[in-house]
Amino acid sequence: MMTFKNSIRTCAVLALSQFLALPLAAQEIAVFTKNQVDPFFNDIRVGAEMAAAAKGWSTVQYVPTKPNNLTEQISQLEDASLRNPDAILFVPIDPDALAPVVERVANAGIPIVNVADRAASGSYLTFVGFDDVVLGEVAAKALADRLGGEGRVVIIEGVKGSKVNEDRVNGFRSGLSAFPSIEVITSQPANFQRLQALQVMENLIQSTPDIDGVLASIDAMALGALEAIEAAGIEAQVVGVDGISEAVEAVRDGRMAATAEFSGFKMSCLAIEAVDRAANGLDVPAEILLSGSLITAENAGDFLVPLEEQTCPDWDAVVN
Amino acid sequence: MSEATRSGRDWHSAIDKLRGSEIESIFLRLAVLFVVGLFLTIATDTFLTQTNLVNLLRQASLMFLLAAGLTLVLIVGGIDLSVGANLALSACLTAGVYKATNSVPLAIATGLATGAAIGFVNSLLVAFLKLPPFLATFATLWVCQGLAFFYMSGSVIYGFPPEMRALGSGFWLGIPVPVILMTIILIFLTVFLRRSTIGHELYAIGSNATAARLSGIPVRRRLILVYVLSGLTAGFAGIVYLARVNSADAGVGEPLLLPVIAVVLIGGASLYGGRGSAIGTLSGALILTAVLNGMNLLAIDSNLQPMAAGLVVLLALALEAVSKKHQRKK
Repeated sequence: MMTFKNSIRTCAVLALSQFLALPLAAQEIAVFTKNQVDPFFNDIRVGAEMAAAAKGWSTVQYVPTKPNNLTEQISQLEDASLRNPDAILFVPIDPDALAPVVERVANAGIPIVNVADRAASGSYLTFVGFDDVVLGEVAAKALADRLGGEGRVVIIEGVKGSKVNEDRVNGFRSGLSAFPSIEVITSQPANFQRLQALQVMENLIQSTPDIDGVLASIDAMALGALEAIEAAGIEAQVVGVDGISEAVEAVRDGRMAATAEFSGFKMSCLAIEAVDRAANGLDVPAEILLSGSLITAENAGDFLVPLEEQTCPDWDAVVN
Repeated sequence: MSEATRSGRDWHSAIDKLRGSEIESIFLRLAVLFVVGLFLTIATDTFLTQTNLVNLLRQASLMFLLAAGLTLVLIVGGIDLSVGANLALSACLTAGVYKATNSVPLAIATGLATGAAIGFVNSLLVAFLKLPPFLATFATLWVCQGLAFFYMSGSVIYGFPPEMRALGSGFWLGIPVPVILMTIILIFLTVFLRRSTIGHELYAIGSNATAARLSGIPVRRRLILVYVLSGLTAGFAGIVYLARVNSADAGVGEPLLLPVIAVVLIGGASLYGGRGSAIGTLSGALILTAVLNGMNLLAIDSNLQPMAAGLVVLLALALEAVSKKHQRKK
């Protein structure tokens, strides 16, 4: 009965696609990102397109019209699977909530690569991304070193409950725990918003005049905090995470102390590579973890290369 | 003719009555603000300092700019859900035009024109197609959001010259420029709503649109005016936003929509129309900002902050409801 239904559905889809002349390319990769707003996801999209083109695949992009809208991503995944793409690159908005749909799509025989936001479980081909806890630790250590191992630090958090935020903030705390003379005065939320971070920082400067350093879980918030610090004329070192170009420029110009690299381009590049290898019967490990580089004034120039001129990291170097 | 004059007199006296309760409700809001302020003054030694108050006013000013036109829309019994997306699109186009031409006046003119144009489209949908304002502006919200996404395609435009940034982060005679802008708009709106015939007509439309039309008020033209003003202030807020944070991306408007509606409602406007004032909206912006400011000063656990903010909003609205009940009993 089930197979009968399925075959009817397949027939219907085939008929429909013939009728609409949908470009059911032989080698199509569907790429799912969370929103159109954050430049990070644009890096993922461009990285996927470039790597796919280099290997003879085509890509179709799926982005929710309302940023980070879970229900929309669920329907997009269901709709996309009807096109029967050869593989899916998937940045889940909520990995747990999406698990059942991912399961269904994977069972239909479409390999799915989990990118950036890690799912605890699910039938993914592999996970490609950075370890956010490690990124937080790298950033925290950079700040502590800059402060000479002592001082008063505030943390600016993103949206409470978001995994990226929790992991990075935990990383901040564990990174700072190695420096007993560094005191975390407070950890305040700014919801990943630049304006909120600016205002939170203005308020914190009022309540605690002697802040030596700021850790922000994303660069956009680090830049907001930096605006407040520069306007108030206080000396506080700012470290962020992500490596967006504006932050890298601020690091290069000595306005920000450092940021930790979280490259969407590299992730999606490697994810395409994983799809390509799997399609050619080669082994793909269960996880592909990139180690984030620390971006400082010395090496900032290397991170300001336009996307079009960036190259994929070497597969063997990352996997081994 | 006499028919029109009589009903005209009717709504004038209705507005006088309304004003009595309006003044009471403004006092109520100032009382809430005072209590929040008093609490924070006792609980922290930093709230009642000159720098923090300057901070507070500057933080509230952006909210007020965005809420100013929206207040007019609520007074006529409408709603403008597109203000956040309008702010985002206006900020993005302002940023884009500046980067393309290096001309600050041209960039600012683009932002204002974008805002007003979106407001004009809203007004046509509401005044001529008679679409419910909630749906019409919900649709333009998406259109603006989509245009901003398309225009920016995931990028952020940043880095603006000092003369442009002055609008958001500059000072004039020691007062932050956005606070001065807020004061000008506050005075203008208050005089407009209290002293001008058109201002009175807006309350009449919001209280009873049919009666207003029958008494000779050009309802359509007034609707066009308020939606265009709402779009214009949202566009202007977009420019000030850009000037304050020194960057623009397509996602900046969405997180502002619900807070700005909350500000106008805490400020005493009603979703059913006929109520609201500029000073009320200002007090709404100040209450909300003071709560957020206070939570930072007190270093309240970040997990508890949304709940604390929600409780204060509830408190403000509950006080309003209790006082209305009290008024009715009188």
